[in-house]
Amino acid sequence: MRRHHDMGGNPAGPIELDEVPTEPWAKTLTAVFGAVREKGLSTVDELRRHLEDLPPEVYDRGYFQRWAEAACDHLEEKGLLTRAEVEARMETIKAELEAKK
Amino acid sequence: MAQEHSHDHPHDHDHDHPVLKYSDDSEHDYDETARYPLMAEAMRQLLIEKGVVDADRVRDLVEFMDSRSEAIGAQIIAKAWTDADYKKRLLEDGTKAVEEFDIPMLGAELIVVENTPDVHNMIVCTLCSCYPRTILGLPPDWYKSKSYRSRAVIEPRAVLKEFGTDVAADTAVRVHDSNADMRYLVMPMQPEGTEDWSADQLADLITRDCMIGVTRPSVPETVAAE
Repeated sequence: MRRHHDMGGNPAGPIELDEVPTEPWAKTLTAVFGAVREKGLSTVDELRRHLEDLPPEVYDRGYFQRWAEAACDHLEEKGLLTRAEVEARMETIKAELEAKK
Repeated sequence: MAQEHSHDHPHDHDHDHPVLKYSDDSEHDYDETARYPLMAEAMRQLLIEKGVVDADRVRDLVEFMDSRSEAIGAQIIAKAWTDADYKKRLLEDGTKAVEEFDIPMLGAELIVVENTPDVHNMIVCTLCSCYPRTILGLPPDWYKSKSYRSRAVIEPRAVLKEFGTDVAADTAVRVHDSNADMRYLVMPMQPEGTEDWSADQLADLITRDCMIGVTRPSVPETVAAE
């Protein structure tokens, strides 16, 4: 059976040509992961496996969104951090940002 | 509770939340308390604290990303148009030929495909969104979209039309499906009447979309009339 990411040749709607600049967090994510890769701790194919294993509804959230989720799964599998740590840190950062308001 | 930030409204309102600036100081903003900005920042902090990655290296890599744009690809293609030996090297071994411009391919192979009167090339990555980022910068959203990834390989002429590109019926359209180990770059045809232009002048005609193969370079009418 073809999996969700394997979409070549499927019918789909018109191409949306809006140019939207890449958000800074997406660049941070890409750079962090580039640094992990440079250390020899990850390969492109490993990350791709995690991208392709995402449920379709998560995969469809957006390119960098799915990347973030897959990177988190990948880093956990490698024993470099856990999803629970990431979620906890997200709460801490959010509280700090909201306190600054 | 922070609201999800939608982008379908004007951006002239005051912000009641901290906002990270875009590196190009553009007016766009986003909510950094939304899930993914938080997730990226959380992973950055944790990996630095654990000594997995270095904070300075992460910053350098963001800078490197910001330094990449279609201007780099345009320079390569313009060089090929004006230097037959370079063109030969570029078509024979793209990875090696772009190294002459200090462009790293980061482990992937680069294959440059040449448009001719008989063949029009375009690139896609149906399985993910592989793209020659070190040459063209980050890919546009449409390149990563389900529509482009799905349709480019089955109805390329219809897709090209949506970009305003009509390819003659007797010109073959070749679609190159990139992957994690192999990236493509299209060498467009040099527009007629630009034979005596310098490489710098030519580079101005060569856009990102030409090098993805969804459009063709054209000489602006104001220039052509001179």
